[in-house]
Order: sequence, then C-alpha cells, then structure tokens
Amino acid sequence: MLKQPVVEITGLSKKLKSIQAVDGLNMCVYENDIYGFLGPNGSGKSTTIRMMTSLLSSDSGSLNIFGKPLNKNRNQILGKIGAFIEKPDFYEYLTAYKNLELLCKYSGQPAIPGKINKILESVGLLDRAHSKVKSFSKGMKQRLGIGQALLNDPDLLILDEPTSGLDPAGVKDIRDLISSLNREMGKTIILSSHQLQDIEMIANRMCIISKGKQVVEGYVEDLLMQQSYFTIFEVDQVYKSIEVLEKSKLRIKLIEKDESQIKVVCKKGIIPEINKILVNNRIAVKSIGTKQNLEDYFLTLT
Amino acid sequence: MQLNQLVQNKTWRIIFLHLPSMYSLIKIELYKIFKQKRSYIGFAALIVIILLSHIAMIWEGQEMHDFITQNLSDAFIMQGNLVNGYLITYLVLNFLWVYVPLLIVLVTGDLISGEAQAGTFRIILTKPVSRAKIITAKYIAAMFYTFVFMVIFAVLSLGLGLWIFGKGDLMVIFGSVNIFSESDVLWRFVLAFTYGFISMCTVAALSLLLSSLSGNSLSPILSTMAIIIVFTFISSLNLGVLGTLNPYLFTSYLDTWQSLFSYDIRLWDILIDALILFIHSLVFYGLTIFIFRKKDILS
Repeated sequence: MLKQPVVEITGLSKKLKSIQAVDGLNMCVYENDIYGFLGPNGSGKSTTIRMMTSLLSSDSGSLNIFGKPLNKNRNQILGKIGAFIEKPDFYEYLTAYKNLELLCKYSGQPAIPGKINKILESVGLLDRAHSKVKSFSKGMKQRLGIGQALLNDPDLLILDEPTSGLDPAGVKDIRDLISSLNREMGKTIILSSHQLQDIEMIANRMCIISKGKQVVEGYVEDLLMQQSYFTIFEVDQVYKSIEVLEKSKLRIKLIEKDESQIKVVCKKGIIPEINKILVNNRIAVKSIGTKQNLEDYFLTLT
Repeated sequence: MQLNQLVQNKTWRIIFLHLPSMYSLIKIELYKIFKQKRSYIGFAALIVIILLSHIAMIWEGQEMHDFITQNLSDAFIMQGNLVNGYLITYLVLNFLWVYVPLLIVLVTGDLISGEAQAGTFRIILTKPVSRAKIITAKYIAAMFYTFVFMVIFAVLSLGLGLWIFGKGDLMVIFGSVNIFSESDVLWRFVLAFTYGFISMCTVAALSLLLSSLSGNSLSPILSTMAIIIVFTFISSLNLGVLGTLNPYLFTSYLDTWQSLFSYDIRLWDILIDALILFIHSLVFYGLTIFIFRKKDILS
C-alpha cells in the first residue's frame, strides 16, 4: 500500500533580511516516517522548520501538511502537530506541571492532571513535576520540551535538535522515546539534528539541505549504498601523498589529514589505483581502511 | 429572542464559539502577570509613595496650607479643616500623575516583548491558537492590571487620606480658587479616577503596540515613556505649528480629569476626550494585531 504524504513542500523560499535562508526547497515526508532533516549550520533547517510550524511565513512556494495548505488551515493543522523548536524555553517562574497545564489550555484542551502526569512520567520528570523550571538543567528542560510536544497526542512530531545538550544516557533515552513513538504509536516524526548518529540510527528517510536547497532526499539505506567510500590510507609521508594524489587527477576528494594518514572519498574501484600511485612514488602504504557512514556521506555532499 | 435563534445569528455564533477560549486565554495571561514578582514592583512603589506623601502631610501639611493661602487671607475667611483627606488626595493625584504611566508600563510594556525575549512564543505559537486571540487576551489582561492599579491608587490615597486627615471642604486652585463643600467632592474623585483609568489604558495600549515591535523588555518601556514626555512637552508648549498638533496627540487628553475640579464642568467635553482616548486605544490594539499576525518569530 502506498504511504500518504504528511508534509509536502514544493519550491519553498524565505529571505531573512538580505539572506536567502531557504531557496526553492522541495521535500516530502510520508506517514510513519522518521524523517531525518540534515544540513550544516545556516543551511536553512531551522527556518524551514519554523515555516512548518507557522512561526515564519514563506515568501513563495507551497507547504501542505495533512494534504492541506498550512497558511489556510493553520489552527486545524497545528492541532495535529507537536513541535519542539531549537531550545526549550518555558516560563521559568512556573513549575513543570504548571507550564504543561498552561500549554494544554493554549491548545484549547482540558488540562487533565492524569494526562499531564503521564507525559511527565514518559519524559522522566514526574518526580520534579512541582519544581520551578528555573531549577532545571538543560537536559531536563530538553525532556520537558519533548513532553510539551506530546500534549495534544499529535500525529506529526517536529523535533529540532532534541538531543542537543543531553548526556549520553539522555541521548539514548530520547532516541528510544522517538523510536517507540514511531513504532508503537505510529507517529510521523521529522527529526532535525546535528547528531548524525541520531539520524543514522533511527531515521528511515532523510533530506540533506545546503544553502537553503535540497541536496539529496531518500531512504537512508539507499543513500548510503550509493555513496562513495570514505577511505583512510595510513602512509609514511602525508604531504608527499597529498601532492602526488592532487597531481594524479583521479576523481577523489581529500577530506582530512593528520600526522600519519589521509582520508579521501572515492569510488571503490579507484582504491587500487590510489594505492599504486602512492607505492610508485615510494610512499609506504601501511594500511587501507574503508568506512561507510552518514557522517562521511554528509561531509561529501555539503 | 430564543437561545437557538441567537446561536443561528452569525455574530452571536462567533461570540459563543470564541468566548470560552478567550476566557481561558485571559485567565492564563492574568495568571502569568500576577505570578511574576516584577508585577508587584509598581504596586509597591505606588503604596510607598502614597504612604510617604501622607506622612509628609502630617508634618508639613498645615505649613504648606498656610503658605498657599497667605495671599488669600485678605479676601477670604478660612474656617474649618482645609487640610483634609480630600485635599491630600488631590495633591497626591496631581503629584503622582507623572509617575503612574511609568509604573503601569513597567508591566504592560513587557507583556509581548518579554515573551519574545524569553523565547516562550516559540512554544505558544506552535499551538492551535490564533495570534489575534493571544494579543486580545494580553490587552484585556493589561487593562485589568491597570484597573487593579487604579483601584489601589484610589482606595489607598482617598481611604488613607480620609482616615488620617478626616473630611472637609476641598479647596483647589484650577484657573481660579475653587472651594467645594464636603458633600460635593467624592463624586468628582470617583470620576477623576475613572477618567484616569481610561487614560492609563491608552498608555498601556501604546506600550503593548511598542512591545509587539520589540524583541527585548526594556525598549517598549523606555520608548513609551519617551513618547509621553515628547508629546506632553509639545502639548505644554502650545506654540505655532506645534500648537496645531495638539488635538492629534493623545497626551493632550490625559489630564482632562483636572477639569472635574472646576465650578463649570463640561461633562460632554470630558466624555469626548475620554472617547478620543478610547479610540486611540482601539487603534493601538488594531495595529498590534496587524503587526503581530505578520511577525516572524525568530527568537
């Protein structure tokens, strides 16, 4: 059965002051996706997410959510969305419980104590329910931020950097929570993150943007299969290796170097050629290793 | 008209539909205002100033009265308790009028920009609630805060004045020397404070408009006060081209309450002035909604 698109973005553009933050962006999120949204700083991720949640208006293009244009059905659509945008800022002088109660009322929903306590429990804050938010650590605020996004039992969750500032255990908790929300409750999730591991571990589809434009979109597995290999050559003469490889005009991209190794991105078939050139130039190749992960893929594209 | 007929009427349907959510939003805004310590700074300052004024009057009141009336003693025979609660309230009212806008704006000027600065709009505005409703709730909450402020102002200055200094005839100098009998004073104060409430609502509305344009808490407070000072200066100059601007400046109507302490009260003129202030408040409210609905939330 074909999945229904939940978010359809076509030719979306937004200029902030003189900067073209988003430039003709296209993307499509299907139901039950965990959709990874990747891009370097300033690539237009947050601007796009703010447009998806009506915090920003778009200059041009279309933004349909649940099959309807957001600008004409704002309240109806927002009623089915839970959003966590960048860092969670709450009323610091109120308790966690009171913050969630107020946000329930803002959503036009009854603030049922059982429901609020259940959400606080799900994000591990039930024992601090009646503490003022100003006494919370960044990680606790982050968890409360995810909790408030769940208040209206949304069909679509938009999470912008939800694991930022969390300790490793906290990151794992949030990843598990996101996975279970998707797997057990069938929620569609858009996950913007700098933690590429987050996307690699839990997203099924993803989009990479750069300078406000889509670079690539598709299933994470497929995209990783198509990519060039990230190869590490351990050599005795790093600078000479770089020099000869640059002269060789092979289709490779030098990513990084350190005292004993160089990292390049290349197609698998070129690896023996690189090795041959290095050896012919009297460079000792101590080892060759290839890796294939999202971080490398991301670096090759952006 | 039957209830179901009312519900079928479009206007009433909108009111029935939106009233519960508006009520809930207003309660939220009021809860937020009165839960913050800073909201009580204005009240505390008001209470301290009024108390100090009364203490000063206990020590210096008779001397001040003698100084003011020494030139009148040839023409008038002064009898009875002229340094009374009414006179003290009138003096406090004149003295505090300059500071009341600042004390109110300390809270109302922060209602929109404070949320922008704290980043809480990023959460609230992703909820299914219209921006116009949020602004309307903030306006009503600001008016309520202003009302509470004016009630404290009135009750404390009048109540404390009457309790300490007792009743008596009120003698004021407004154009001429006006003396009102004890039984003819209280209603003038009630109307003066009511008019004061309307004028302070206009000041609060201006601060909310400026608050919607700002991303920090301080700018709308300072800019509201700057506008009031500049406009009042132009109004008081009343010269040449600047004088022609007077009818268009809302500050020209803020002190109309003083005419309630004259023999010849033109109630109609006072009503017109109050209406002009009310229209200013409505225009500020409309502009705030227009700006806020289009505002990009970047904080």
